[in-house]
This record gives sequence, C-alpha cells and structure tokens, in this order.
Amino acid sequence: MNQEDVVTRLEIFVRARFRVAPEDRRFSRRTNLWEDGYLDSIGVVELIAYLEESCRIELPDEVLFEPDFSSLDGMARIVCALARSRALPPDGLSA
Amino acid sequence: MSLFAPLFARADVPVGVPELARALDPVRTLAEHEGHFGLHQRAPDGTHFLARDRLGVHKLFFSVVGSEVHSANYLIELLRAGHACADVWSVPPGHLLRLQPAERRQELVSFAPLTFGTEESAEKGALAWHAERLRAALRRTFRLLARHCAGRPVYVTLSGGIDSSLVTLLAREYLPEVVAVTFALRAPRESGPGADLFCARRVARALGVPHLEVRCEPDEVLELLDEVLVYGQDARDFNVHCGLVNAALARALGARHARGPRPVVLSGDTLNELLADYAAVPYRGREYFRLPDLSRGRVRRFLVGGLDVGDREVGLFARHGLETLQPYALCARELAALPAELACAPGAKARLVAALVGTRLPDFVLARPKVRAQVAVEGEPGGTLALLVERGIDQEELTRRFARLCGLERAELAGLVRAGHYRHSPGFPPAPGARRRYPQPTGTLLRAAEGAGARGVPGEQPA
Repeated sequence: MNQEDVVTRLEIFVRARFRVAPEDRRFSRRTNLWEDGYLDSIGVVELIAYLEESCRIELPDEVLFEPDFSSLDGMARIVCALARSRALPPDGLSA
Repeated sequence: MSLFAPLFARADVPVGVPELARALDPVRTLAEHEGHFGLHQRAPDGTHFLARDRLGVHKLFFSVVGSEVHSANYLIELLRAGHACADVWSVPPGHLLRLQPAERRQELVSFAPLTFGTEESAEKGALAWHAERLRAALRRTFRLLARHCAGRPVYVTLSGGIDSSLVTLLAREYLPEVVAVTFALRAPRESGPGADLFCARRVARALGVPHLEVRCEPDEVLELLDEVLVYGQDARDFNVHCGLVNAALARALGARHARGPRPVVLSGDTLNELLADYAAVPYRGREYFRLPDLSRGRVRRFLVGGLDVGDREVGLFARHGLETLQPYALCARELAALPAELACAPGAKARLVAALVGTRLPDFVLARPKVRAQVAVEGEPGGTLALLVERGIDQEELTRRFARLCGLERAELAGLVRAGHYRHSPGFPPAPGARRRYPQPTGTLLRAAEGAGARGVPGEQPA
C-alpha cells in the first residue's frame, strides 16, 4: 500500500467531508486535526469508517491516542503499517 | 481493592470479586464473569491489576507515580488529589491492565471482546433463534438481580418507551417489589402531562407497578448542571441532557432513602447503543445529537464503543448513594450478536421485543414512535434539551463549563476524550511531567455534593 495514495485520498475525504476551504492556510497534511478543531467525535468516527472501508483494514481503538493519529500524514503511516502487518496486496486501497 | 463492583456473577450466581492476583489465568477468570465493575487490586509482588466491565459501564481512571498506582472511578478525584490531567489514564472497557511500576511494564489484554452480528440479510428463522438466546440471557440476568437486590428497595426508571417498559415488566416478574419512577419537567404554563409521563403512567398501570413521579421546576434541574458535568464525566450534550434527568431522579430517591439498605435503580440504558436505535433530534430549526453518517449496522460498533465515556447513570446515582444496574449491558453479547437486520432496521426493536415477551407488554408500548426519552420532544411542555437551549447553554458552554469545573484547559480536555473514548496508554504510561496542582473545582453544587456517596477513593490497598 502506497502511503502517498492513502494520504491523498484522506485529504480529499477530509476536505470534502469537513468542508475545509481550499484557501484555508492552516490546513495541511501535518496539521494537528484535533487541536486545530478539524475533527470532532462524530467526524473521527466517519473518518475511521472511511479508512477501514477504503483500505480494507480494521483500526483498533488503541490508535486513537497514538501521537501519529493526529495528522493526515500520521494517519496514513498508521494505516500503511497496519496493512503491511496484515500482508494486504499492494492494491489493497480500493476506490 | 475493588473500587466499585456492585454486581459480579458467574452463571446466575452472585459471587465475590475474584482475587486476580491468585487466579491462574486472570484474563480467563474475568472472561468467565459478568458484572458492572471497575477494579483495582494489588498483588504482594507489586503488580497492579486494573479491570473494567465489558461495556465500560463503570469508569476507571489511574495515575502512576513512582511505584504507586492511584485509581478512582471519578476523574475529578484524581485531579483533586493533585494529579495532572496529562498523567491520568483510563482502562479501556472489557480490558485487564497489568501494571508493574518497578519494571515500568504494562500488559493490556481484552478479556471480553464483543462480536457484532452480520450486516448481511438475516436467515429465515433467525429472529426466533436470537430471541430465544436473548430470552435466556435476560432470564439469567433477572434471576441474578433478584438475588442481588434482595431486601433492598428497587426502582426502575420508566420513560414509557420500549426499553424501560421491558425492564419494568421483567423486574415485576422476577423481583418481589419494584417501583417505577419517572421524571417530569414542569412547563412554565402547565398544560397537562407530557407524552413521556402520560405513557409511563399507562405502562405502570398496565403492569400493576407502583409509580413515583418526580416533577421538577426548570431552575431545580438547572441547579444540577455542575454536578451532572463533573460526576457524569462528560460534556457532550446528549449525555448532559440525560444526566440532568438522572440527577433529578437520584436526588429525589436519595432523599427518600437517607437511611436503610442501599436502593437499587434498574434502567433501560445501553439497549439503544446495542441496537443503534438513535436518531438526530430537530429542535427550533437546529439538529441536535447528530450521528455519524454511516449505516445503522455500521454505527452500532461506534455507539457501543462510545459508552466508554460518560457516567450519566452510574456516576450520578452513586453520588446520591444509589446503585445502578443496567440489565441490557449484562446481555451485551447476545444483543451485539443480533444481525443488523434484526437489530437496527426500522421497527426491529419492537419486533424483537414482541418476539421476546409476546403480549405481556401492552401493544401501545410497541407502537409508540421512538423518542429521546425525556430530553427532547418537539411541541411538548419541555425536556432538558429545550430547557438548556432556552437558557443559552449550548455545547460550547457545556464544554467550557466542564473544563472550568475540572480545572482543565480546553486542550487538555480535547486530549482526554477522543471519538467517545477516554485516553488510554498503549504502553507503560510515561513518567509524570512537571506536576502541578490544578485550581480546585468551583461551583456551589459541587461543594454541596462533596463527600456524598463517593464511589471510589484514590489510593490503593493490598488485594
């Protein structure tokens, strides 16, 4: 699974789902989505469901409090690590 | 030390709290038991065992300082004892946490994973099969409750909806004496009982159960807000609105039983999560209690996981000396195993309950449209949602107030709760940072409630 693909898809999802304006300069792939108010408790559930469905993985609750699970880059790292550990084929990312 | 373990059972026999340090296999020992509990035991070798029930009905927080592990059911107690919020962790529901502070080692093991039923179409005859399993689980649970509650006053919180009506029916059938209790908020211009109170009266009458009505003025309910936030351990509006109802009931029942055996309150809570029977509520042009945009079958797992956060029943009733038991939580395995079609499809709950108890529950209960009991019914004399909205107490204000009462910064609060889960540590908790004492929580009601019916105390004792 390609980390760049994952983070690209994640960014598209988050921008669309949480209505992040294209001109929002605070928002980037390294932004802390929690601290900067892009994610709330409902939004993160939708995000997890999206990741699980599109990447065919199951995210355990434990990842919620991992420091990496704060930014798009970090989330993509977690997803790819999980997918690798479960030996998914390289095309494991579905549309 | 058992911080809080009111019901611990093997099969349908109440048992004492098992000594995990002496168990050959503590994980298996916990898996073989049912109950509501938040436990902390210390073995002679310095190992600490912390465990929490399957759904997280009871809360369990801890902080590690050197070789000591301090724990409490209420977050506020650790904060008041001087632990920084960043050093406070929670034990995840259905997990056993083994801590060896001297070696800085931690082992976190799930002892009670829940398996949710398929989202595929249910097979023919599945409803009858699942209903039989659930009937057996409820039978086991209520036999256990009958033993556990013997000689104590027993109340059922009755809203007139399906969940609480079924608990009332089963409590009447299995327990010698039970009283139904219903909250009602007085409207500025009284216009007769609201639909909830009206239905609750009908149910109590139909089932032949004595009925106690707890009617409150709006200001009496608002007085409880600080207590609800601090001891309900959550600022999210849906929990606060329900918490206000429970706190009002708890205050009334606590006052009736200042002496004598500790009363028990049975509730219909957790069935809505296990069956994903929730919907957003419109009120005055705004939508409250929004759900994730997922199928009901999919959202069920997240709703149940989200029970981790919030203490709107157990925590609030315990403050007034009452023990709360949630029969559906004790049947979580059987309820979770229901295929989505039987659990979450429109009308599924009524069909399931009809299959469970037939005509023993009046038809009008099963036919009643779903409402958020007591908190929000458009056009009604009023619920706690309406009350708070009218007084300008929105989600932002609840969060701000909760942070202030706990002496926390907003960012600290955001780091404590995520997606309906309290913070837990994947590895041994990092050493406490620069510890500072937070300002003491404020609020007149909070001070008035101090020392009343505390559930757990920070500290530790040998097992």
